Amino acid sequence: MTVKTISQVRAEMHAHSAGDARGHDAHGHEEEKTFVPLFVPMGRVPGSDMMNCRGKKVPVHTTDILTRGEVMEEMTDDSMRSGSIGTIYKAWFLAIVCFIITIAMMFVNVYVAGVFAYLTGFYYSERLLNSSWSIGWFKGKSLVYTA
Amino acid sequence: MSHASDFPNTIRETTVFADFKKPLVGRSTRWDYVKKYMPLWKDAIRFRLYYWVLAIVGVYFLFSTPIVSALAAAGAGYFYVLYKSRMSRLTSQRKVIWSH
Repeated sequence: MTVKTISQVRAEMHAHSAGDARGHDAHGHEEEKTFVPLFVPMGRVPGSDMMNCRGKKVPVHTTDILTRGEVMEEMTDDSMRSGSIGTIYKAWFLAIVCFIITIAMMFVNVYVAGVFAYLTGFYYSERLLNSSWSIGWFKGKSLVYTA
Repeated sequence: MSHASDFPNTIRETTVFADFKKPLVGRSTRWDYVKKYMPLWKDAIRFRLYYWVLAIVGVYFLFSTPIVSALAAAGAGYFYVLYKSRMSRLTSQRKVIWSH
């Protein structure tokens, strides 16, 4: 792999003007390059763009630079209302368990069964809430990863 | 030598062209990226369960049936390595940029 300065590449593109419209050599492997345009607002005056988030002042930004481990840690977090996939699995499991206890308790004590019926609905709604947040809302948000 | 973090309020720009057959970065959506690595997470959970169960089986049969204990210990080590390999890929330090 060779890293060149932009002036070197421009000079080569002028030299290969017989190539395609982008100035690439048609017989070389120039067309195999992939250019990913990405705007990342890195410079920011401290304090000018701050917002409240969970009681803390945090900078407003449109992108986060994370590691894969941090991404997966955030998506597999299982604390309630975290809006992550781990919570979806947890709430789904608890809803099924509470449903089974509800059915079993119907033959023992109908009031206890009612409590577990409430918990079934509660955890099922948590499942819907978290999946609509993490999957539904963030589904199409763009992401750039190092290959 | 100055580091980029010495100038936190400066907007910097650079362009790098590289002779490389494969792209250096890839574009995806958040869901597609997570879906790509979710099987690793599920495998890691599964292998962690296996090695714990096999370790408990190994201790339980240590004095009564040593042959079962030896096999269970080998299995526990096997699944422990698989668990660590999945977790090392999951907790990789490769950079990801995502938008909100």
